[in-house]
Amino acid sequence: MNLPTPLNKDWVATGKATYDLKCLACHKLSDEKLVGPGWAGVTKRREPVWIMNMITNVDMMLEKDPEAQKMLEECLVRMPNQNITQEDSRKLIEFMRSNDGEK
Amino acid sequence: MSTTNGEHDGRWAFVNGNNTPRIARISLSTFRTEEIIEIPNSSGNHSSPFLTENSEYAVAGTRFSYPMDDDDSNPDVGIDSYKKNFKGTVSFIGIDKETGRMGVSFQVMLPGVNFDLSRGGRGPSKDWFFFSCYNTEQANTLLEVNASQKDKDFIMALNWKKCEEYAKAGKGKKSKVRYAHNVYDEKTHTATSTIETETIVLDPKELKDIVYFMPCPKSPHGCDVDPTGEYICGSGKLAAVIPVFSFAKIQKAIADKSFEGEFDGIPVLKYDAVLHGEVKKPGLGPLHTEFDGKGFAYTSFFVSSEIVKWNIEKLEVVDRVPTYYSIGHLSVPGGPTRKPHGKYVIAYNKITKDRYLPTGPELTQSAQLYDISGDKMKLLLDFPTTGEPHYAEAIPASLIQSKSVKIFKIEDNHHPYVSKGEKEAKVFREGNKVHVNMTSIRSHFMPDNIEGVKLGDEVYFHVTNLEQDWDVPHGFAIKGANNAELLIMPGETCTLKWVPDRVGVVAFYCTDFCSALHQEMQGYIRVSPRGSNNPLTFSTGNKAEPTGATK
Ligand code: HEC
Ligand SMILES: [Cu+2]
Repeated sequence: MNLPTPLNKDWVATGKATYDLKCLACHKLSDEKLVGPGWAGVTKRREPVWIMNMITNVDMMLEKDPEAQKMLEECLVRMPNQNITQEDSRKLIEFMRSNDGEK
Repeated sequence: MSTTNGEHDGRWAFVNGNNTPRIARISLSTFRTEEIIEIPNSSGNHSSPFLTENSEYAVAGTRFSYPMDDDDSNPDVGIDSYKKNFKGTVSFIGIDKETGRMGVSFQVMLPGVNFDLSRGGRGPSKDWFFFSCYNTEQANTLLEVNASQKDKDFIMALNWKKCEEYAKAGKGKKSKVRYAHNVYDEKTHTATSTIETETIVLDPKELKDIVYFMPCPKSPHGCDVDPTGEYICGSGKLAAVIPVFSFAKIQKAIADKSFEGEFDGIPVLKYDAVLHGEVKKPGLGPLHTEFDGKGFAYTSFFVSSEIVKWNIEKLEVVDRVPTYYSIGHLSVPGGPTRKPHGKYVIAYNKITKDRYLPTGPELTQSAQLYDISGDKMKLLLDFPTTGEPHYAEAIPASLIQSKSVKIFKIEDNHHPYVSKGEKEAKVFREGNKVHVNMTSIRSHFMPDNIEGVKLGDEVYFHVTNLEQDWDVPHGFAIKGANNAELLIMPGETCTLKWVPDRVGVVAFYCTDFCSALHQEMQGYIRVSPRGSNNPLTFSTGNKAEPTGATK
């Protein structure tokens, strides 16, 4: 997956709106853990495809992916399927990149 | 269950309320009650809610006849004036093809008797409806004895298509009534309640060709139409035979005016003129008949505790199996349609006795599942059920599966007090009403600390479940809400009204096990004395950054 710069401003805005509605209850934008890990740095430590899988196919990830499983052992709450389309997950990544300081 | 062309279509199920006469419509995509309509001019809604072949109407018959209490009549009469003053009705509840919306289209005023069960015709008989009638003795006391005097009661044949025509042509009388009509809106997650004030009543004494009685031995319960629509099987609880009526013969008898007399102004057809034949010595206490679509009928026998299989054309018993014990209704998946699936029959029993470990004076009820695909019925499973299992229909899961709603999309939630995300959660005051727009997600509420409520306030918790995954409801309960708590589906908003009756800090919590930290899903609300100056504040997690909370 290629992630061009500069960021798509519209996507960042849509991603932020989705975050407010469906993710904010569990994820902070800092590195502080709430229910799930804080999102600061997430685009640096994870591949974009991995993040998209986590968002759109979380049950498979928690069953198969060792990194996701390691997080579940710490958090002990399953990251929920929030009914996000592929398209919206891409926009969420744009918002995460902007949160990580990309321009 | 709803049908199209006489086959189950998996859209809606209908349920009748007996004591408060009404019909509910349940969506088979959400398994939610979408609508409830009260039935006017009715006392005990039995023989309901059976449907016409294309679900044009659901019917509602009054079990008890009574002096109609609409405002044109004076119902304050002696109970022993039954014969003179008591009347029955059957009502036709129109169902909108697209939305399922119900309305009382017309009612038919009938002589005072009891109406028990009913069944819509199909195929050749699709314009007709059949109702079993007992207490044609018109007894008003000790019915156990006094309503069991005559050898024959009636099955009533009613031409609903003609009734519909007459109602549309203005041949009915407008009756002033009061009944409630409640409709649930899936978009706003709220319901509205309307009081309706009028119905159209048809009188078969004037409109001569809409209702006929057929003599039927003795105190009939079931009156079941076979898949072809040609045969109507009566099940007289006290009868020694199963009479099978022929629709073609009924039509001929009506054309020939083969009447043996009138009952309260309604023609009674000659028994022999409408009878296809009788199944002799089938068993004791027949109640209800279902069909397999291969020419066989299955009748339940309460007194002799068995299911009896018989050939409809030949009227011969071909097999019988015991049930444990005292079977009431029975169900073949698709049995009451044009195309029964015909592989299984379920026996719903009324009395259990020795089947299970003792649990005090009452035992759980039992049911049995039989394989009916071969010549002989075979017991597959004997299992407990809760409550007295009554009439039921079964359909293949495939008719429902693909339409089943898994979540309510949070984007489509138009509840007036929805919180779309934790940022929208808030607490605000309107006079003495305090609204709490709250969210829940695994596993916390926003807000979970609320202060500034005072004695004398009414608190409305509007809880939005932010989950968007199948089968993740959250609950909401608070001490002092004495008769309700919430169970909120993914993406849904529900409201609970709570009127605190004392000063103090009260806990609220999630009642549906939602994650490993479900037990932590709780919060507190502080109630201060009347006139206190404690300001309204709310929060979750004192360090939480994006709350919008006041602290
Ligand atoms: C109910 C709380 C909850 C909600 C709501 C939630 N998550 Fe998660 N999320 C978690 C948890 C917990 C984990 C850690 C994995 C686990 O335990 O299953 C996680 C992990 C993640 C990760 C991996 C983080 C990392 O550091 O590697 C990403 C990415 C993620 N979530 C994205 C989202 C998005 C996008 C949304 C909104 C659409 C969302 N989450 C909504 C609880 C939640
Ligand atoms: Cu919960």
